[in-house]
Amino acid sequence: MKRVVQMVLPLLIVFFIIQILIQYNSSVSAAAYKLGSKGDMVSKIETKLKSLGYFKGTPDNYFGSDTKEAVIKFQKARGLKVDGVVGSATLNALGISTSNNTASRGNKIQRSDVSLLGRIINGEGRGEPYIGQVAIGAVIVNRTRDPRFPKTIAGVIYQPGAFTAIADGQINAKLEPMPQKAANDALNGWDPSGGAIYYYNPAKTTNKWIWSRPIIKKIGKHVFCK
Amino acid sequence: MFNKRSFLAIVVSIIVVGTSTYSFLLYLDRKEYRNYLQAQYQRSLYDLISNVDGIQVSLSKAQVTATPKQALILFGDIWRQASIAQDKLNSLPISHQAIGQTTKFLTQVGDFCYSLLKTVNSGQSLTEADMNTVEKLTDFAGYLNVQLHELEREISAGNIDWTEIKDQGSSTFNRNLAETVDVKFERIAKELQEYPTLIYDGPFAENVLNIKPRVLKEKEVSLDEAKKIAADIIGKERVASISQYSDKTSDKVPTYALSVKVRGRKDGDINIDISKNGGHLVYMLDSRSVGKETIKIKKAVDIGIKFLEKHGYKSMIPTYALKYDNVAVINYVYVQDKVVIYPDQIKLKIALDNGDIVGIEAQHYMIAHTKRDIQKPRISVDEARSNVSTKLAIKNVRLSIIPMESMKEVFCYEFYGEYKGEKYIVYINAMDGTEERILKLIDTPNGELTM
Repeated sequence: MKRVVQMVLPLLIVFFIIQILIQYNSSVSAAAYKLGSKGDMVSKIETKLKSLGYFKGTPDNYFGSDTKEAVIKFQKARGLKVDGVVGSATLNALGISTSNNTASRGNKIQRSDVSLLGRIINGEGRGEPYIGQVAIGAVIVNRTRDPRFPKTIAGVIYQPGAFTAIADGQINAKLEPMPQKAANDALNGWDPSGGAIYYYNPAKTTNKWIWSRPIIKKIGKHVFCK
Repeated sequence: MFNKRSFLAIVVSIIVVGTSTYSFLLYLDRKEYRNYLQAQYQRSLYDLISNVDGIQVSLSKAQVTATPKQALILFGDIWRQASIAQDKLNSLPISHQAIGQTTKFLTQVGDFCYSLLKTVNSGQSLTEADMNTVEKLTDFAGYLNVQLHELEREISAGNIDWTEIKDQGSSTFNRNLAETVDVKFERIAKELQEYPTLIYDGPFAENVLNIKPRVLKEKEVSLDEAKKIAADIIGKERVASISQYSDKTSDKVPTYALSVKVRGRKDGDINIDISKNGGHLVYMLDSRSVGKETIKIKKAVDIGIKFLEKHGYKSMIPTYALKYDNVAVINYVYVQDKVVIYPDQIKLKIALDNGDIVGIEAQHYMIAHTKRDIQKPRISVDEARSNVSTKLAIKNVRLSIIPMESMKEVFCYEFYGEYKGEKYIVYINAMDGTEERILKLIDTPNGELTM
């Protein structure tokens, strides 16, 4: 799982960058159109301006003074910088170069994480009350949104030394139904931990550093803290 | 003939030879695994170093580039490399408190450069302040780079074995090794704490991380008042008793954490959090087991609406419903002046055996909800539509306010449409026509869009 994530994530990111570049190149080759510009793009701009009612003439491949007037009108109407030059901001507003902002920033939670989260809750919190289990899941989700931690559920769970259930193999224990339900609730946004990013069992922990964290809540045997 | 003594001697020597051979094989096996593990960790370290190298180089180039085209490539590179570096660093067996600060630095550098990339891509130029920040970040990336190279030298010299570090505390000697790495990163953390506070438009920006919820300004309610509010939400007639199960409190939104015993139920309490400021509901969860489904989702959606209205959440509409384990999870959002306000969202869990509300998630609503001053759209629906891909067969249009990752809210036209049997939602900025976001709806057998 982790290796898959490690292999796929960079690929996804590279793919996304390439996409940006491709899109950018298609819009950058159309960097700025002004008086005297020629080409298909100009007719595209004119057609668009005409359909919006700013351009009166017939769209051709030449950026004339009538085109410039139409552009200025359009820029005024949209609150853009008024210069009669079609740059990328104006192109964006015209909807000609669409830069697509569907960047997945790495902390979008995928449903496929449900079973992994269910397993770790199962390994870490068996015998804990239901909200104690949801809270463990919430801590993991909260970590993916904290700049000090990995950005993915798998990255957080498999961070060396982060969870005892990984070291002692409890993550592979028989999956009970309740932890799976708890994982669903945690991924759906329920957070009984109150925004915690750490939890520990005071009876078992030997880590002195964790004792100094401000405590948010005590649920079952676990203490949840910031 | 064997006498008893020689027989014993043979048996004992077989056992001794057997166990020692076996343990030697085990030792070899263990060594092999350790080498394998060491190699994995070393690979992570080298990847980390080469990416931090790359970040430093790209940051310095970004300071002297004059063309937006180059700047885009560089910021894209930094964003990618910071992401990988962060991931590699966190796959090393070093304690979190030692590497937390370095992780944060890498996250913010990537996030910051991604926001610069978006700025350049939208045709704006970078400010003087942005360039100063880039310059400072270059220095810090350089410092980190030097430190990592030093660490790498120590490890290559055989002074540090990652697999020894993993066996924390098995002997003082090992602990010393762990400490050298930890101490090194703690020293790096001290230096990195001085890097400039990054104020920009991204999810991990300091200005976003430090937003204080408005609700904290409201008057505090007493424990008894909170109990009353909780009883009211769950239904007074169902409540046997309410107790506070935890008196510690978070510093984000302090709450009374309450546990409710339900009349006629042996086990399965209901847990409910009420904010100390203003006595708002934060969340409720009822862990009772849910029996066979007798209620249709449509009916559940209506039950939810009625429940919300009864408890003062007026003007809410359902946007999405998901079903699992005989429970429907339904999202409701607030509507103001016919504009759908997505940040003000409440989720309800409704048991499909008898229609009980078994979960409420109202934290988003509590933090975001306010009377907004919504302006008139600057562009018409048709103008906005002309910015949506013609491939999309548009089924529905409405005005909405959507939250960006940086907590900013954007006023948009929302176009819901289909292409090749897949459902998409496109958001076009209602002020300047920019395409803000495209969502693709992943159809699951149990999810349905309620628009």
